[in-house]
Amino acid sequence: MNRVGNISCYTGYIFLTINVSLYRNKSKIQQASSFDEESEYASSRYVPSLKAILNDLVSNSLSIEDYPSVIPMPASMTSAAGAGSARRKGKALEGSARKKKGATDKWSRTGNSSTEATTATTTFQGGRSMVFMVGGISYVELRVARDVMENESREIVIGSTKFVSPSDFIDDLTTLAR
Amino acid sequence: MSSNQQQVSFYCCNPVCDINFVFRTNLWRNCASHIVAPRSIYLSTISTSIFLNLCHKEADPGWKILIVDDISMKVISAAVGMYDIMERKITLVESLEKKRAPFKDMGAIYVLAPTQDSVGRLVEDFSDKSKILYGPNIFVYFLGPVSHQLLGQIKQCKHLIKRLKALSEINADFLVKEQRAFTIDTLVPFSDFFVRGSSGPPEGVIAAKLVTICATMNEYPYIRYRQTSGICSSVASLFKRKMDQYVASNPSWWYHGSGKSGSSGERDRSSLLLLDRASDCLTPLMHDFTYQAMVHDLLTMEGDKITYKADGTNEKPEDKDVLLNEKDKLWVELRGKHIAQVIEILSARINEICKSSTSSAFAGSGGGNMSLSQLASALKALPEYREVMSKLSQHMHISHECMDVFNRNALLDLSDIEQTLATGKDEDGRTPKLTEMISRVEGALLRMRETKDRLRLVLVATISQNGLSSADRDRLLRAAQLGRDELLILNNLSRLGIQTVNNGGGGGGRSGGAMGFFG
Repeated sequence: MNRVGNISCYTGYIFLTINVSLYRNKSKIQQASSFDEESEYASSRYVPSLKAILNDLVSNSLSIEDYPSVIPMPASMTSAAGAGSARRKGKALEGSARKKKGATDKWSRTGNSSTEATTATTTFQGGRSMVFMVGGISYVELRVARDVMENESREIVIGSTKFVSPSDFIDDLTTLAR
Repeated sequence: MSSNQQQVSFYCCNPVCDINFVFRTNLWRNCASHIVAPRSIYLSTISTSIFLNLCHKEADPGWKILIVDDISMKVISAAVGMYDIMERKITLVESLEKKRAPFKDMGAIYVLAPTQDSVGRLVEDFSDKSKILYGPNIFVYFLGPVSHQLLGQIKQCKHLIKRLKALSEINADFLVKEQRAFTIDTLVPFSDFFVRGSSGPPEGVIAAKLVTICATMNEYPYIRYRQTSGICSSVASLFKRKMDQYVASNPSWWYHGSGKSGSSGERDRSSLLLLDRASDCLTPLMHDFTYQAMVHDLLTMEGDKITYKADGTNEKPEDKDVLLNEKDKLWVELRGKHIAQVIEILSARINEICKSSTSSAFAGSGGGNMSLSQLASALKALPEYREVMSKLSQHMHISHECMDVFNRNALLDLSDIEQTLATGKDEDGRTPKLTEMISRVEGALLRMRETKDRLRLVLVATISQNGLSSADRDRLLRAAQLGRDELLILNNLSRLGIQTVNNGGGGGGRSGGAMGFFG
């Protein structure tokens, strides 16, 4: 919260910023490592419910009662409940451990460690997970999907009828009144 | 199957027609060991099918006119730039809807959405022989499957049939805006997804387009859906039927996980999960301070385009248009990061460039203490940094504009109220009393100037608490001073299964979410 305050103080245009940055240079390097995690920002405590759903989906622990399948699925894709609940318990830690990918990578146990070092452009484990949201998806949720994809090394393709900003969404809600 | 091989399969739509078959082209890629992102597949599908297509190269090597409708314009501009279009020997891009000039000696390529309107206009172009605008070679591409009825209309247009050199479907009736994020335009108002409306059920359109998308990506997924959602379950069963039909009518099509692709790096079969917005209306209303979300929330955008006031060269601020999309690498890198971090990164990079450029440009001038104007001229002197610098400064401008709105509207405080409402806990992990929260919301409402902002906060409070007691609700509404339309929105939330009044009964319509935290 402090940090956001700090940043918001030095508005202004680009050369001013250069100046400020030059001035702050020394202290900034020392801060840099603590700046990485989202959880640091008090204004980002809320986690969209999509995140838990995606985590469960890629770890094959999404409840089959709440999210039934149209065709029978192989047992391996529906019964990994243990992994899912363990993940949920660890959720509080998730934010702070984010950057240390190797240590928290759920897929390291498969013995394939070569995928960890590199980023989203390389290989993913397992099949594609596609998620489609009827009625619009927010930009926050697009980010959540990218985060889960990167953290879990699983490819997630996300789609919707449209991408909505908060204002678009309120406009959409007005159609209910017609 | 080698990679990037194109196959064309034929299917007979009607044995007694003049056009014997419609080409159903699809770029069937064999991604042996690496994964091709959906956006890349999509882009190459479009450019390959339309612009590299062998049939029209051989049939007419000359320059052509490209005619598009509104939907296909979006699709094409998402895939290729103007330069690419010129490269493909196209002199002019024209809008189907507008009056067009004749080019009697040139061929024409129509890329259209398979809608009644577009097909009607296409046929109209060729209804009167003396008024035909183009030469003897006409190529027609549809973004998605064309219905038999529309095909029938085309068949009856003799002048068109005579000139038609290709008619094909290109499986691209959707937009892949980010590497792995797509939208399908249903042209259906939001309410029709959840309340039976006048425009007919949208499930069919959604299911059909999902089939196209899966076909393009070579996926035959397991289908899962939110059990409590009516629209999800009907899309799920319709999708299954249409997907099975597609697989049955395209015997050479393969999918990941079938074991048929014959590659060593075989992937598992995919899954498709269908969700609906009604089950989480809170997320799209919350303030979020990551770059992409903030830009779309706080600044005026026109699609991907943002216009900002840049300091012009001669003191006068000038409007600058920037596209924030996949082509901007810096945007792709920064969009998911918190705004504070974005500004840090940008400052650090600008700083770095300044240092390296000043040390080389002013190596002999004593270094050290340079004035701002010296810095600026040093930058201008170094063309290799100019491009990088202009991107960095663009984003610096945009992020600062975000911060300006953030400060002006006291969003830090507002966001804390929202976050506490949504998570049930305040910043220090304490659980505040509901009355305390209602007072804070009330205070914030009284300070807010815009009606839409006040409505937004009332919505967040109502949805996050799974309905408010009549007394609390009245208190907030008094402070919010909403108009009749806004009140109507609030009342109509119940049509999405969201509780608006909750007199202590607890539980109810909505599953999940943050309910019953306060009391």
